[in-house]
Amino acid sequence: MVDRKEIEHLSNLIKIDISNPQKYITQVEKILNYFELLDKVEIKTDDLIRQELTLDKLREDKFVPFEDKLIENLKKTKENFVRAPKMV
Amino acid sequence: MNLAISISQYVQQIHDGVLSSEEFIAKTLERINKVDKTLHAFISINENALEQAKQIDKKLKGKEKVGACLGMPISIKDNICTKGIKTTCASKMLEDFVAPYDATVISKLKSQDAIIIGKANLDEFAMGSTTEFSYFGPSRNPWNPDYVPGGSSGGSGVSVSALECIASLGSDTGGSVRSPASFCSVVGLKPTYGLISRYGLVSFANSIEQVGPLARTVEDIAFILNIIAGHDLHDNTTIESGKPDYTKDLDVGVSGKKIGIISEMIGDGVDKEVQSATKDAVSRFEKLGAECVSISLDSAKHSVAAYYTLASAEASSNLARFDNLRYGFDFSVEGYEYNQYISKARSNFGPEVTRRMLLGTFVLSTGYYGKYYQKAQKVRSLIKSQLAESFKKVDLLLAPTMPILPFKIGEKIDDPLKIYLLDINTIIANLSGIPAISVPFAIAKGLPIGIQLFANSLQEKQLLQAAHALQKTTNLPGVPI
Repeated sequence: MVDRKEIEHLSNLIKIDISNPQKYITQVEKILNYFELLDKVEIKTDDLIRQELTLDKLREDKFVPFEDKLIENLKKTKENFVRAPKMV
Repeated sequence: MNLAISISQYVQQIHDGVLSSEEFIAKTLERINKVDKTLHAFISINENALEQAKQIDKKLKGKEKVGACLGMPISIKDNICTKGIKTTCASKMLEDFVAPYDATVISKLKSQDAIIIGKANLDEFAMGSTTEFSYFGPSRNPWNPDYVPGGSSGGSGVSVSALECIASLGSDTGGSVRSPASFCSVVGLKPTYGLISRYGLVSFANSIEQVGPLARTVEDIAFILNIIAGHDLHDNTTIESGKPDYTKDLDVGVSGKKIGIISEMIGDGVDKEVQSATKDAVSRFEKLGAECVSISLDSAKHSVAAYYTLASAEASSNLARFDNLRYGFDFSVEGYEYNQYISKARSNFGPEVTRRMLLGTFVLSTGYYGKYYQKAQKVRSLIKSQLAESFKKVDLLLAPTMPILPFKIGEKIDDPLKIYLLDINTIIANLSGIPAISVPFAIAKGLPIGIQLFANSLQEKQLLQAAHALQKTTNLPGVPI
């Protein structure tokens, strides 16, 4: 079910260079085979019990300055910018 | 001076003037120096701990107001942000990361004059059940250093068990507080979802995880819970709990309580030593006046598949933020194209984190979403409703925390599914949000066994009362190291 092409596609999506796809193919396949058990569960209702969040205690919508200079914690900066590799 | 004291004993001795925070911290640091080369509970130690202790002693001498923790040493799992001390998540991706702020739980502990003694080892980003997936190397079980301490909060469990601190904070996504508590013979609590703020806990699976305390006694857990529980404006998933005093009425016992033994969690696949400890725990509860009945929770058998589907899906989305630009290690951007750079940097995630992201992305992808993710959500609903039904019949549920005894380091590391299946008894609490606690109960073949109790949401008081009653029936040996 999971082949080299699939793992390469996934590693591309999660943006991780995977040096040894073979190792992951076997393990991921074994785990997904186990997950198949979900498909066999009989669930009578289509309803999901959703997690309810009470959002009645929101803080005031007011700017709160952060005491630290966050930019100073960054390693790759140039003036007030994050230094990133070239996009094109 | 004895380091093997509980929080209440520490508090008493400080008040009586027979102990100072400085003495206790100095002795604790000495202990860490002695045993941590072997056990590796810590990733980093707070260099200012002794100085902070002196300040607290000074305040005590000057009759100034001092917080309830009175300078006691507490270790913190290294995925909880601490201002000024590194927070690495045991990952190469964050090996030098120093958070610019304290997590809410840390601010609360500090405001009560606790001393953060150090940051405890974990499986990378809390993904694992043995602490073997730490980038910095595994922690070892103080009962036998050839064995795993459980995980992912392994360093927390080890540090409390081996007297390297008085209590610890871990995080529990699928059993990560209770597993090391069980394997290291300490108490560990996974509170109701929303009882404790997650602000400053590095996100892995937001809808499931909770910060939880580990300590040597149930009383100590209640003490820490009093400090860290409560609504937080920085975390909208926190709930109003009415701030009960968890230390009050701990001694009421279990007489007249009904306890359900989860039949699916004591049968096949459970070590016979664990089975017999569970039977023993049940008979002790009966002697204390509780009524014990068998309860079936058949959805539990699907819980591992549902949990790993959901947790991996959430992890794959959460970990997208680690691009090595805002956080990360020293690796120049020169000469790289954007995607190439990020993919190369992210190849430094460890094998378990990579595996979870592959799985998480797969189960969310077109064509598979209905089969895996949606089905897992439905199983989660089923577990919730079956638990709700159970709590109409009983006050508490009981099962062994871990189905097996601690095992040797390296024994299961090449078979991730085997490690996932170890969580079979713990994850129903995470998927449903209910609280659960592991109580150290027995030692077999020189290795600890923990008994787990579950209560309905926000019933922590009742849970702690029963756990306290059970712990009082035990008389376990001290840690051998």
